[in-house]
Amino acid sequence: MYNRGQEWFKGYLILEVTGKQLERLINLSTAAGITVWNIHRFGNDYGKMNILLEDFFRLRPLLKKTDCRVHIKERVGFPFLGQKIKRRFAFLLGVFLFVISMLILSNIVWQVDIVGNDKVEKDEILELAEEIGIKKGVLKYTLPPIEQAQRFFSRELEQASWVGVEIRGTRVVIRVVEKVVPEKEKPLNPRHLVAAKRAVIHNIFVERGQQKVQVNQVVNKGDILISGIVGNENNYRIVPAKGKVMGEVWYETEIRVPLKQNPVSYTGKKHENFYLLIGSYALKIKGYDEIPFTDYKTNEEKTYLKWRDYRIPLGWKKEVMREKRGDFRKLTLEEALELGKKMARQDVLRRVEDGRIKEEKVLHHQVDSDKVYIKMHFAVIEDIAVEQTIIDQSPFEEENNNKHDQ
Amino acid sequence: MKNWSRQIKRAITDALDLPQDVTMEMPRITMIGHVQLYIENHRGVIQFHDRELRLLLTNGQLLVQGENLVIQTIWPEEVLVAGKIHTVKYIDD
Repeated sequence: MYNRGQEWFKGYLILEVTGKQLERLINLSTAAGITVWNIHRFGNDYGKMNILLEDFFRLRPLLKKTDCRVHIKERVGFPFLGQKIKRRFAFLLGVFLFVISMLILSNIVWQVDIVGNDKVEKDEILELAEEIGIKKGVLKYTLPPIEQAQRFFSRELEQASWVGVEIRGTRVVIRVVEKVVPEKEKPLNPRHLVAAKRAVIHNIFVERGQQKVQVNQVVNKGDILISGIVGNENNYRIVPAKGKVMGEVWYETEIRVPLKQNPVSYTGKKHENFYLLIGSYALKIKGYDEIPFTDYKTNEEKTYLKWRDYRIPLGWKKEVMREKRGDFRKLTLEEALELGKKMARQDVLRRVEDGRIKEEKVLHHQVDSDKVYIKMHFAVIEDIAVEQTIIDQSPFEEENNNKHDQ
Repeated sequence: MKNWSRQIKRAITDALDLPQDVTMEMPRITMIGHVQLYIENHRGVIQFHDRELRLLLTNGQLLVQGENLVIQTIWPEEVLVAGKIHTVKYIDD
């Protein structure tokens, strides 16, 4: 057929036609290539038809030929839009303002997000961003070019190894990748490393300072292991001693192991009771059937209704009874000793910080009715060095004095 | 002479099984219910008002009767009529 959209775009007229020879007018105009459509005719000499605006002037001579008269009833389409616009000015103004405000609002930065900062303060980055013109409420056009902003951040933020700036709609995302800086070692005070407890030196590793003891040497608590004073009496330097001294320390521990072991385990069978709580009164609702086992552990869970911070004296209680496995295990002496050793080892290792067991020995064990007493000896290799700050400014003299005292 | 050429045309049309509207300049009429009528190969409007449309054909006339008839579109050889169509009548000369 024909395309109404195209006709609307070109513009057309709705004509009222008066005249007796409308049929001839139609024939002539179609023959002349004039598009007419929606032709109505009422009675003998009155009709209506649509015609393209561009064809209207070509219709004129035909009208004369056929003795017809036309009257433009309505103008439709794009070329006549201007007239309509005048009538609907306020509406169009609204549309225009809407579009404009939409454009403006969508070009404003509404949010500045900072991602990935861990150590650097958010405010610090925001301040920097503001300096370069990235802040809430500015127009996107006024933002600096992204590369420039990134260079600026990389220069100003020393803790960052890379800074990315990204504009996502009305949001500016500043992505910070922080440098991983190795933790600075604390400056150490001048110090000695001394023995924390009586031990036999197992091995010694000196990083800084002067070694004072040898492997297999027995040291007492407080003996200097690595001295912070390097050099001889005339020419010395005080340094923070550093190193690792492992010593063999002896421990004795006593353990008692019950021969009757009763590890709690459940069979998986359970019985549930359900109560309604009114105040402190419990009304049993569910669970009247007989409990199918005798040895059990009961768990109960009370829930009271709450309204804001007030507790309402209404609630429910759930009781779960689980059947326990009833077999008591009686340990043999060997088993008990084995278990005791394990417990003793754990006990010893709890007492030392960084150590391992070198030797262990059962010194003594005694069975007493249903318990076994075990006494054990352990040789543990552990770090025995503790630091001792050097206070005195002339340590050699003091050392000498001490020697005299002893 | 004209009669003779028409006879040849018809013979060819029959022999080749061609549609007659192509060769014989006969109207092709498509009707959608009683609301729309599409006529190809007409030769002009003779008479038109809201109750009647009379079209000229190569041989004879086509009379369309109904109510609220409207010529929706018209081209030199085609016409689309809408309205409530009662009758389509073929009138031989």
